[in-house]
Amino acid sequence: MATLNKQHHIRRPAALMQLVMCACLPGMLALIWFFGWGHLINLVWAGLLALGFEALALKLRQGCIKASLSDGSALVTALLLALALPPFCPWWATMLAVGFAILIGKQLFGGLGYNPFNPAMLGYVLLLVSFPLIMTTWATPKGINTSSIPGFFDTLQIIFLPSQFSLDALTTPTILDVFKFREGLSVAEIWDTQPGFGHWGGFGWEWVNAAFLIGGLWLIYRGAFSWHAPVGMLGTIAFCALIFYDGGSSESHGSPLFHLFSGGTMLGAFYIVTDPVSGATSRQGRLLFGIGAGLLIFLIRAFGGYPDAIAFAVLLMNMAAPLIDLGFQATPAPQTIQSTVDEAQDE
Amino acid sequence: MVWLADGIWLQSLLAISVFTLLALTAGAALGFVKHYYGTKDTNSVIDQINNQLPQSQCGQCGYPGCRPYAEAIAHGEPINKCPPGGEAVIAVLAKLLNRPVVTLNEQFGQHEPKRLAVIREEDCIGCGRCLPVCPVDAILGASQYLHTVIADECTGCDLCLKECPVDCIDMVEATPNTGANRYTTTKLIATSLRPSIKPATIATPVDTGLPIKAASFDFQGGMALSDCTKLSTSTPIKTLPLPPMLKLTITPGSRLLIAAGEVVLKGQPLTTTDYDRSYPQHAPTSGTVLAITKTSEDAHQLQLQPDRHDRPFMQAANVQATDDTLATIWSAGIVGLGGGGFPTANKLATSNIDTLILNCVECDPYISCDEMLIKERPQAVLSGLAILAQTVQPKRIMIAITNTKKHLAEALQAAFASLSSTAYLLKKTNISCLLVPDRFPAGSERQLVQMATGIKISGDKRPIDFGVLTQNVGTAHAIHRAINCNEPLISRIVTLTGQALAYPGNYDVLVGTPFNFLLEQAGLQRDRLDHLLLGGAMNGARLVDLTQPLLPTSHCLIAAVAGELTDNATPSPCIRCGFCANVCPSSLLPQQLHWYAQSKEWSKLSKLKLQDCIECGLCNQVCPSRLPLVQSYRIAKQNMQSIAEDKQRSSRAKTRFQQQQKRLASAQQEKNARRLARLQKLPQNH
Repeated sequence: MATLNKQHHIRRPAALMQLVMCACLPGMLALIWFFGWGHLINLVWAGLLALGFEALALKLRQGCIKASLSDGSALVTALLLALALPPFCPWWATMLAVGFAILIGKQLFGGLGYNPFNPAMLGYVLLLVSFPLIMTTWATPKGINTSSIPGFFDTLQIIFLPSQFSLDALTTPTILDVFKFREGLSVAEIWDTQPGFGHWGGFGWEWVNAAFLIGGLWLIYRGAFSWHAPVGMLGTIAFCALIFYDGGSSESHGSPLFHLFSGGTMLGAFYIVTDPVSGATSRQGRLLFGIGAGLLIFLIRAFGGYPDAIAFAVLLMNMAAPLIDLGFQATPAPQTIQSTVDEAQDE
Repeated sequence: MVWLADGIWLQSLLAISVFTLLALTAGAALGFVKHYYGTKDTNSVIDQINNQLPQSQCGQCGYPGCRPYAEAIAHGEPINKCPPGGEAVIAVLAKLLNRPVVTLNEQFGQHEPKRLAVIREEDCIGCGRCLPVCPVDAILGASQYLHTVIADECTGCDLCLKECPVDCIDMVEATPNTGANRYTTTKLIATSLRPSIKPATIATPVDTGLPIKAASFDFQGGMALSDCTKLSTSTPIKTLPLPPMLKLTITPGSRLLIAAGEVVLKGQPLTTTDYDRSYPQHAPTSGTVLAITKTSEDAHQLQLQPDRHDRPFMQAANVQATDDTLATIWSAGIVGLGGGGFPTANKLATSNIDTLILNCVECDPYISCDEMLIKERPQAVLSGLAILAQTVQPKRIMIAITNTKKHLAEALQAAFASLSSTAYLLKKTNISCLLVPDRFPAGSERQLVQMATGIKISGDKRPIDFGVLTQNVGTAHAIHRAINCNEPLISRIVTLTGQALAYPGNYDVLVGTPFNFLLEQAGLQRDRLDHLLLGGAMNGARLVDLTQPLLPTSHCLIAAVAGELTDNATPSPCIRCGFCANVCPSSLLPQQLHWYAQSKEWSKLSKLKLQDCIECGLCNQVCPSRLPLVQSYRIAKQNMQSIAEDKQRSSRAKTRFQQQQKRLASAQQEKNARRLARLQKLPQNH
C-alpha cells in the first residue's frame, strides 16, 4: 500500500535495519580513525559469521533462509558487536560472541521478534565475564604517546594470529578504567598527569561518541524510533553524574560530560537501548526503560567492579521489560472534558 | 555460663527478629502484588466451577442441574460429563482445577451446537406436562391453552422433549437472529412524539454569515495520507441510465407491502417495519416486481424490472402529509449515508442536543462523493442542514471540512449568503465552518467530535450521550430531497474510482443497481483489474460477487490495478517497533492487541480496550512486518461478542433456575403446611 503512505517510509524490517546500519557509519569512521583497522576487520568477520550462524540455525529450524537472512537483523547484531568489541579482539573471541548471540541469544528463542535479550549484548557479556583481559585492553588512540597505530595487514595478523604478538606496546586501559582506579587524585590532577584525556572525555572517545550521537539524532529524525529511550538514558546518566561530581575532588565520579562522551554511552543510547524487540513497548515504558538503563550504567560505572556497563545495564533492563509493559499497557483515555460543553451552553 | 546463655538468647532473638522482618517484608510484597496484579475474584471453588458450566440445567451429567455437578466436581468428580459445554468447558475447568484435559465422556451425550426448543403450535394439545420439567421456566402456557417457548430463555436442555405426549416440540438450531436481539421493542414512531418544536429563543438577529475557523482541538495519533481523490473529482457528478434490472435487498425485520408480479411506481413504499434498526424502502423507479427471493434466514431480495417510464407515485399517499418532520424523515427511509446505515430519524429523536456537527470530512484517500456534493449542490446541503437544525434545535452548529479543501468552505459560505428566508433558523444559530487537520481518520465520528468539542469518547459511550450529534453531508442532502422534493431515499452519490476504470468519477446511482452494471458504465478494464474494494481504500471490504446491488450505505467502489493498493508482501514476525501505537487514533497498543488476539486471551484484550478500536486500518499501513492487524482484531471482536452473549444467556438461565428452585421449595413447604393442618384437624373429628 505504498501509494497511500506518505509519512512512514520504513515499510519492511530490512528497511529499518538498513537505516540503523547507515546511521552507524560516522561512528564507524571515527573508530577507524582513532583505533585503526581493527573495527573494520571485526565487522567483516563478524558479519560473515553472523550470516553463517543464522543460515545454520534456520536450516536446523527448517525456516525460510532467504527471507530471514535478507531482513538484515543478523547483520545489525554483527555490526553492534563489531562496534563494541576491542579492535584487536582475536578471531576466535569474535566467533564465540557472534555464535552465542545468534544461536543462543536469538534463534533459540524463536528468531527475529521473539528474543527477550539483546543478542549483541549477550555475546558481549559472554566475552566480558569469560575473558576480561581481552575486553579491557583497547588500542591506544592515534595521537597519544606519539605511537602510531598498526597498519591494515599488521592488524589482520594481530587478529587472526594472536599468539605471535605481544599487544602491550599497542594497548592501554580505557579511560573509564584509568579514571576509576586513579587512587585519590582529583579530576584536575588526573587530567594533567595521565595521558589519554581529551577536552572533557577520553581522547578520541569524545569524537567517537559525538559521531554516534549524530547518527542517532538522524535516526530519530527519520522516525526509526522515538526519542524516549535515549533521552531517558542520557538524561539519567547526566543527572546522576551531576549529583556525584563533587566539584571534581578526589571523591568525584566524573562530570556529566565525561560520562556522556566516554565509553560506549552514545552507542548504547541510540543503537542498543532503542532495540524495539527486547525493550518495552509503549512510549512511557520506553522512557522508563531508558531511565533504568541510565541508572544502572551510572551505578556500575561509579560503584561496581567493571569500568563500563552498557551491556549489563541493557540485559538487566531487558529482564525488567515485561514488568514495565505490565505497568504501562493500558493507556487510559483521559476523562471527558465536560467543561467545553458547559462553555458552549453559556454562549 | 551466664554470658553464653545471654549470647544464645541474644542470637535467638536476633534470628527470630530477622526472620519476622523477612516474613513481614515478603508478606507485604506478596500482598502488594496480589492487590495490584492478582485476580479480584474471591468466589469459592464451587462458584468458580459453576460459573464455567453452561447453565443449561439439562441434567445430562446425572446431577439435577449445574450447581450440584459443580459441587461434585469440587469433590473429585470427573470434569468430562457436561455435553453442552463440550471440550471448551473441559479445557477451562482443567486449567482452573489444574487437572489434565480429558475428552468428553460420550456416555453422557454428545456436544452439539446450541439449540432451542420450539413448540409446533398446531400440534400442541395444551396438556401442560412440559411446564414443570423446564428448569428455567422458559415455557409459557396453561392447561388447555397453547404453549410457547421464550426463545431468549431456553437453554436447549432437551428435558421437555420426552414429556410431550404428542411430540410437538422441535429442537432448532440457534442462529443470531433467533432469540435474543431479534426485535428490539423500541417502537420508532413512538419516539417521534418528542416535545413539539419551539420557536427559536436565541436572540441573535444579526446575520454574521458563515465564519470559517480552525478546529481548536486535535486528536492523538492519525496520519496524513496521500490524496487520490483527483481521479474522481475532475468530472461533474453524472447520472447513470436505468439498469436493466434493479435488485433491492430487503433488510431483516421488515414487512413487505407488495407481492411478486405487482406493478410499482417510482417512490412507492415496498416495505415497512417496526424494528428500530430497519427502515422503510421504496421503489427506485416504476416497473414490475419480478420475484422476491429469500437470500438468508431473514433477508430477502426483490427484483424489479424498470418499465423506463419513471411514473411517480402519488404524493399524498407517499410521504404522509404531516407536519412532523421527524416522521417524514422516518417514512422516507433516510439512513446515515456516511457508512453507518442507522435510521436517521432515530438519531434525531434524542433531545438535548447541544452541538450539531455536519461531517464533510472525507479522510479516506479515494472517496470524494461528499466533496462533489458540496461543490455542486451547496444550497441543497444547507437546506438539509436547516431542516436538521429545526428538528434538533442545537445551541451551535459546526460544518467540519478538511483544511486542505478550503474551497468547499468558501462554496458553502457563498451559498449561505444567498440562503432563502426559510432557513432563518440557520442564520440565527451560532453556526461556523470548522477546518480540521487533514489527517486520517479525521472523518471518523469520535475523532471529529474530539476535534470540534474536545470531548474524547471511549468505551460504549456515544456522542449523543454528550449532547453532540453528527450527521453526514449525504444524509443532509437526502433529508432535503425528502422534505422539500418529496423524494424518499432511492438514490445516492457513489464514488467510482481506481486506475482500472476508464471513467472514474462520482455518479448519482439508484439504490439497487447491480455493481456489474455500475462498473460497466464507468468503463471497467477487466484485464487491468486486480481487485475491487467496497467502501474506501483504508477500511473497505473486498467485493467478490458483482451481481450484488448497491446499498444506501455503499459510498465508494475502488477498482484497483495490481500494485495500486497492495504489494503482496508476505508478513514477517513483529519486531515491536511501535509505529502502530504512534498512529493509533484510539490510543491503543496495537502490537500487544495482536499478541493477545493470536493467543486468544480475551480478558487481556478487553483490558487493553480492543472494543475502542475503530478499525481504521492505519496500523496495517505503517507496520513494517506487514501483519494483518485489523483483520485479527475483527476476528477477535467477533469471538468476544459471541462469548459475551453466551455468558449473558447462561447467567440468565442460572438466575431463572434458582428462582424456580425457590418457587418449588416454597410450594412444597406450603403443601406440607396444608397437610399438617389437615392432619391436625383429623383427630379432632374422631
